[in-house]
Amino acid sequence: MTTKEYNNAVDMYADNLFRFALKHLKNEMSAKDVVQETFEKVWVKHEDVAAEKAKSYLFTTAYHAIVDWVKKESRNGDWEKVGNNEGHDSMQNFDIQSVLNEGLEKLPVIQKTVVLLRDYEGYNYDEIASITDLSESQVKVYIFRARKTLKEFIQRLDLVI
Amino acid sequence: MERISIFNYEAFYLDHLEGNLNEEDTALLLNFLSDHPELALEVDDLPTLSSEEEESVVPSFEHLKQIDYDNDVISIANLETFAIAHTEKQLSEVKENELSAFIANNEEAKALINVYESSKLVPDTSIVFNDKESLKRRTVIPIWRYAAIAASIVGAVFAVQVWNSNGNSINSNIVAFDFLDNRYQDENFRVLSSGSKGSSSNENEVSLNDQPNNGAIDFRKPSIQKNIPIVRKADNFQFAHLEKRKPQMHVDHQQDDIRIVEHPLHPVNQSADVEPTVAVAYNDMHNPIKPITNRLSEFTQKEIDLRTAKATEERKGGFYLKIGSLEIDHPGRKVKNAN
Repeated sequence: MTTKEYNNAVDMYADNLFRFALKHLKNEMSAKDVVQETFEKVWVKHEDVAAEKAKSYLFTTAYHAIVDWVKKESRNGDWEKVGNNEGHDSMQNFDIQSVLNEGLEKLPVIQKTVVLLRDYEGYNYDEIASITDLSESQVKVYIFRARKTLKEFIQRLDLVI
Repeated sequence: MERISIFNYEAFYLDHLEGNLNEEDTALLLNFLSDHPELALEVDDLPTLSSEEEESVVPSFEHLKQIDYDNDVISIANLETFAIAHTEKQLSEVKENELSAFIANNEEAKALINVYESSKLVPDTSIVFNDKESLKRRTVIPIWRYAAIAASIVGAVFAVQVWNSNGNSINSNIVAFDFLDNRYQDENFRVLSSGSKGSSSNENEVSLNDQPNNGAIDFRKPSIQKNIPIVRKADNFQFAHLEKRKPQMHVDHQQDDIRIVEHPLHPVNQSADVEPTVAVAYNDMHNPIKPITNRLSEFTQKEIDLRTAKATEERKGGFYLKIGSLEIDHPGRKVKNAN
């Protein structure tokens, strides 16, 4: 990947990575740090990374950075607290996406990761498996479980309406 | 003393629950409980285990069963799994049709499909990373390299000036180079030095008037004999790393001389084991310090030019430096693994 291709990757994927990190960390500064750290790591290896693999490489790097961040925050005891910072009361907001976002926060981290990669980035099971170091069947199971949980949240909304 | 009392009724009751109490004792126990209704609640509160309760504790492992999406028939029992697979676009066209037919007359099934389809997350594109520029990288230009080149040029020009001011001149006597005989000649066409071909002593002095002059520029007989730089005949050289250019007639009005120059003028010995070179057109090279070389040209009244070629996948970078009649270049060597 040349410098120009690297800079193009910044233009194309920085926003996606930021949203991906923000959904996990729920903290803008931390999400920015993850994006910064991700691109710095990729820059170090940019000569070895093919341009067409840049997106996958970026998301893999970002995922590992997020996992590290979550582990660190869990040790500090701040994870649960931070995790609830952005909570919305679905009873007050009938927007499906808002309810889904609330449901997303209830998912285990790995389920959240795979469903975000699936819905936000459109990755297939094989690509998600590569990014998250899971098997394809594990990815499939996690996505199915996540869908069931998200369905429960939507049905709660239906009951209220 | 009665056989069953408040001190031993629990034992009889447990035997009764386990089916170990005979009919006579069972009747005695039931009479005792009817005579002591205050103990009935306590008896009811005794924990009992039933298979029904066990079943409610054990979670369902139905989800562990593998569904054959191609062969299993869609039913109420597996509808949810097929609904997710439909949302995930994992179903074949045949199964999609089967699912459509299944939900056509089943409102609940249709609602379930709709719920799953609306469970897809949509990114909020208003959330963006604002400081992308801080993530971008720029190619580092090795200024020191150009500075070193510029300093070298200035030094070389200065050295030439000093040399000339001391009454020395590299080519002051040389007015032409005889490519046919491979030798330099002075303005009187006396041989100053000979090349590898060698030359006989008889050829060492040539009379200007002895040479024919048909009006064309004759390397043996320059019509203008002052300050004519060395002119080398292109045919005697192999041009490889730089593109052959047409001879240019360059008239310097200030010095009133005429120079015929073919660029570049560096022989390449093809028989030697040299690295292969790749042609680089002169016009494809650029002068990174043009203002400096222009200034130096004006100052020294000599043509000063520096051109460099960027490295590509096929070859490394090269350069071409000209100070007056002095030319130096470094060809762009071919990259070893390049085709």
